[in-house]
Amino acid sequence: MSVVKCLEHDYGDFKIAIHNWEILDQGVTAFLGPSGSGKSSVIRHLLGLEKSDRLQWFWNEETGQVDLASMLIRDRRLGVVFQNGELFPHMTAKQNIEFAAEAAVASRGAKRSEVAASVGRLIQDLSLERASETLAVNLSGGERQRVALARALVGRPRLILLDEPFSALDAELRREVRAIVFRVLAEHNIPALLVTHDPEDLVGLQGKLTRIQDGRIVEDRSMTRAVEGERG
Amino acid sequence: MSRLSRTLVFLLFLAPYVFSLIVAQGRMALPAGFLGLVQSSFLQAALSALFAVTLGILTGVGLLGLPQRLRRSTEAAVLVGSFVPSIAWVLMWMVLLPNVRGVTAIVILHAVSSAGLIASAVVRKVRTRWAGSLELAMVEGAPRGLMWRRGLLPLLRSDLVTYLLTIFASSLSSFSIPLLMGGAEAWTFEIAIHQAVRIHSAWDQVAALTLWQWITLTVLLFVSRSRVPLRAGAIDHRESRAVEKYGWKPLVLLGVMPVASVLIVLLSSALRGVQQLETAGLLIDGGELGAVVLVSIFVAHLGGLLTAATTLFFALSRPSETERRLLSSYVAPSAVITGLMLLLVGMGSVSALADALRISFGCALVFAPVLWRMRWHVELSTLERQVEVAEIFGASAQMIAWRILWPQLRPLFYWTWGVATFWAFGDYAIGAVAASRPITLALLSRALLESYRLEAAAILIGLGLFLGFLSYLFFSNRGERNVGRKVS
Repeated sequence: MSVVKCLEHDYGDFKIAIHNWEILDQGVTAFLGPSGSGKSSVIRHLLGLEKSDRLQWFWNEETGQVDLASMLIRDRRLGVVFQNGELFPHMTAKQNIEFAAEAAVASRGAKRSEVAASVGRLIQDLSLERASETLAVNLSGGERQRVALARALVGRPRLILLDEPFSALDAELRREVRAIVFRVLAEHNIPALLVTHDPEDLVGLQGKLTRIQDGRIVEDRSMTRAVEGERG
Repeated sequence: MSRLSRTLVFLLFLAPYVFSLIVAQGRMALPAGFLGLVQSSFLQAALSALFAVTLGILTGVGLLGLPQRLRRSTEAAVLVGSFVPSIAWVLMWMVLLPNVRGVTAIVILHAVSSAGLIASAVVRKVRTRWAGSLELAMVEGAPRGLMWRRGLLPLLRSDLVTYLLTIFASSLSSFSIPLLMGGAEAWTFEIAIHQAVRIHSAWDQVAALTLWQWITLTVLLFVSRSRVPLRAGAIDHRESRAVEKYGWKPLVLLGVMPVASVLIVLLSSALRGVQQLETAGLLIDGGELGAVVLVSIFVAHLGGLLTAATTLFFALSRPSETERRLLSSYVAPSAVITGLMLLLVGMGSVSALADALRISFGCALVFAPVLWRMRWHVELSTLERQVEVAEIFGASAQMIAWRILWPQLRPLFYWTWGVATFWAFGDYAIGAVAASRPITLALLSRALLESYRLEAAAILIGLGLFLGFLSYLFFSNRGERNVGRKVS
């Protein structure tokens, strides 16, 4: 289990104050909220991209409990997929994934042979064979998000943070990519924190839902009930 | 490692100030007439900024009125004025208005040489951000005057304040134009510092003026930088007819005419100058000219390389936003830099090599912050998210520097090398202090300008610009070639 014991940050005109928030270490924790509610800021604090006034984030490992907030960004062993993928545009799809694999080998002690095998497997799982030699800048929206997912998964992260990963896609593509993403996450058994403002993203998912408003958690319950509630 | 690299760069840029303090043995004294200097330099800078921004906006309105293909080539022509070395502008002025000097000449030359950049920025902003609003206004039948008065100018207000502050700061620290156009009076701090070094050897005054200039400029540029949103927003690439309708093409002449004047004066003077060049035997003979060309090539390319290397080194060390803004706000006094170079590269050594090295190093220290401010700061900000992602995946500093940043900054590195080389070919200001004799084309041109052999000067200036432009093209193409495929 993972618990954000406390996350506090004062931006002057906006405050984030979250206490005892449980993020599942199995399945999906959905993180909903309207624009400006602080969703993306929370993600940036969890990733370590912004310095927080207070952050304690405990993660239970087999060897004991660790505080991710006290670690360097790269040592937190997290994966991320942003809204537009944020691929490295000068690399091909495959090179993007290989870059993350090499980083995992260099900094996280992952075995070279294992990550090399997992590059090939992820390309296959995410149906990226045809796109693998294409420059990232020339990929379609759906391909870009699938490459971003492969890149995030290849280092076997503790948790993958999906920051509105489908919002830049049109409705049909969104359904298709969503199905692929959740299938692959389940196959690879990697927990995800899904930031979204679209309740459709949650259909069929198991896990829990957290709703944020004005930087505070206003709802935290199981996914099935939440989705039913969303759909009225 | 990154922190050490950044510290080294800042130490390099702090060195001129520390140097002036050491030479002054820690003493500082403001020169007599300091308040007058503040008044005249602020007046000159304010007028330069006001004229430059006005001319830039008007030229921008003119450019927007042109059809797409013509607009691109005309915009490029107008931009030439902002990149061509000052010596070409000075020549044009001396030929066309030989009796007008002082603040009038300085203000107008500052304005016409900066207006192209402002015009281009205005065009880009209107086309990429507000094409949709203009279409709406066109459908609703809003007249041009109303649209600019009530719509576009208020939208541009924040940018215009930034342009005003930036031009104000650069005019306050301008050196090359006031050096030749200002007469005996110091119209900028740079000139006052130069006079304190060269005429009075009053290092206590140099230290005080340098500190004053540094603080003033840092505050101004730091404030102006903080106003610019560095992350590009959603861009609307539509080539809309509405944009053309809300421009007014006759105004483009305001931006094109000064640049055309420079080129026409340069060409016509050069054509008349062959005979004068032959009679200027004491200054130039064939052998000497060849040597000067070779030295110019060496000085300019080394200066360009050092400039590009400095900016790249700083970028790869992953400076924080505050550190990037600090470098953007940095202006070092040319005269003090040159004094430092005299110390580092052979105090009093009159060898051509020592002279050349001093000019090259001086150029790098002056050009690097300017080009950083112009392009590197924004470019690095656009790569920030990629760096964050790489960091999350566990990439090391080396991986980020050489696999993420360098491949994407390489075209900019070569562009910087090209532009700095082009500028160094035209530098006569740093060279005038650093070199013991006219060893480059620009220095020789300055000597000819001062003795009113304008046509002969035009030939050398033209030759320098031609060589500089060739170098710029070579490096720009090299940067593009290295990218291989276009990266958006």
